[in-house]
Amino acid sequence: MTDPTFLSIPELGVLLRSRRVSSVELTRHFLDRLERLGPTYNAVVTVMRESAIAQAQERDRELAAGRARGALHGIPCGVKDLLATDGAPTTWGAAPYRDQMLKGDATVVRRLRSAGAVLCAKLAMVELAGGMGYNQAFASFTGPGKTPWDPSRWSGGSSSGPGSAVGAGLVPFAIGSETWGSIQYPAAFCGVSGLRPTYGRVSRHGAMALSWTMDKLGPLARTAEDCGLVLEAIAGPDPQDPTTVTQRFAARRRARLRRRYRVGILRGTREKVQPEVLRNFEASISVLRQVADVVEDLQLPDLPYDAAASIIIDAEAASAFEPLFETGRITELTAPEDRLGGYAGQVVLAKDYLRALRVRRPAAVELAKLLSQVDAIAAPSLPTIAWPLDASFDKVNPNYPGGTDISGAANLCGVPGLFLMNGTGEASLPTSLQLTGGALGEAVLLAIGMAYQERTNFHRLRPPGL
Amino acid sequence: MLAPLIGARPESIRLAKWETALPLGAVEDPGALAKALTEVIRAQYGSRLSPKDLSTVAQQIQKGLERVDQLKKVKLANGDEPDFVFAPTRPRPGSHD
Repeated sequence: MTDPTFLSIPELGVLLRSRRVSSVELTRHFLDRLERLGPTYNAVVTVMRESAIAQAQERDRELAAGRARGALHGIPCGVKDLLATDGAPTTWGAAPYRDQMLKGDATVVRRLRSAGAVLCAKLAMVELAGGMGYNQAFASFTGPGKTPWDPSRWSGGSSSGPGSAVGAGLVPFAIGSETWGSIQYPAAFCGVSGLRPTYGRVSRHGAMALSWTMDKLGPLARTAEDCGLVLEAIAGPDPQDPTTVTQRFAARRRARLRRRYRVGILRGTREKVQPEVLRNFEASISVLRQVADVVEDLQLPDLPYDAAASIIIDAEAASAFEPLFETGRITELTAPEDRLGGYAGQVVLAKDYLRALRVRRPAAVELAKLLSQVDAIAAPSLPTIAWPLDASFDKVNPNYPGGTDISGAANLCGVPGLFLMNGTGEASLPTSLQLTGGALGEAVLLAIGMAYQERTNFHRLRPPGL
Repeated sequence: MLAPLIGARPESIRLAKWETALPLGAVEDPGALAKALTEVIRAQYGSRLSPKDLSTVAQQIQKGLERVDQLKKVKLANGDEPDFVFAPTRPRPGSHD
């Protein structure tokens, strides 16, 4: 059998449809890797061997009968352990919930199954998706997430398992979530492709709520194309989540987007990043110039995006996790700072929370004006390579805090972002390029990402020894 | 820190001129409002919080209030509504409890 470990979704699909490999064989291959290598990276909470094999057998029967459900048919995958999944615990990465059994599948899980994907594992995450303000990698009852590029370094979070599992070839793709940075960081530190969809593009029904107005679910995968195929399967309106948008996303429409693009760079983007990160960013821009006009020196409108996002998350998390405070079980969290970090959110004044929600609208309007000038804004995903496991986040790499950062604005305003490995930096660890687009602009982001990956080979690089 | 900066280092969050004049990461001493709100926390959860814990919480509350001060620099009209969704006829979604 061709080694499927680091193949993309279309490549795996060719193997499946040509009968060179069965879904059961593929599924067993990735289940074996999840069980054998998952503990190395603290990437896995629950391996779902029995149900996965049963699903794969059904997918094989369908293929034999000439029925293929689509690009994900028979492809193994994993999901961050904040998605409700019938028959398996849903732990939210947090000790107080390690035995939690929820009834029914999250909408995303249901849609993955409908699209023919084979759910193999619930993947590790930072406890409560980082909602209590963690300041270190040791912030999950499953241990610190480790990047497959160097297990002495952090995987990034809070979607730590999806990042490291995809990076280590334990699954071809996974679903993560982002409230503020939680797909961005693991995609960058684990050297994979990640897509943060527009808020409302993907149903949150059945996902742990950290912040009802800021949580997004999205894929981590080998390539931008893979991200689009997964998004097509999971996106769309859902009566169970009234914030979902009615506009549908179709990956195939990207073919019509092959035109010359406009990519912007914000003033200050190149400041205070590691030299290798800057070098790789400049190289990425050179590649993008083959397909895009590059507009320099754009100015991020001067608004308190980060302050508004922080207040919204504080207040919504305080409500979402109030039972942990009422029962005192907040003290069972793994990271000491998480046991204290949520109290301040309990006393955010209602008028201040509402002010933050009111500021969000003008902020979104101003950001939309900026993004309307270009197809995407490019920046390094992060100013540094992956941090050491034992580092306190507020003390690591003080010389490289990064320059102008669009992630707070993007998350507050719910616009999409694409994260792509763009080389290696210090210690041969991945560096990453981020592309931020306008609301519902995933198709053009993915088209630019695909154009970039057609001209580079970084998405084909494997971690050492894998 | 008050804000759950999800996977983000506090120093990486840039606030441009909205940031206070204090060095990055620094927080002013808790003011009267922060101290009063800390008393609310003490009243509800004081049995499990040490004086040191409450001091940390007071700092976090102060940081949050400084963020509120930044928001107040954005002019809002009476008609600028909070950006959330509510519909009186919507059924309750299925529960996962």
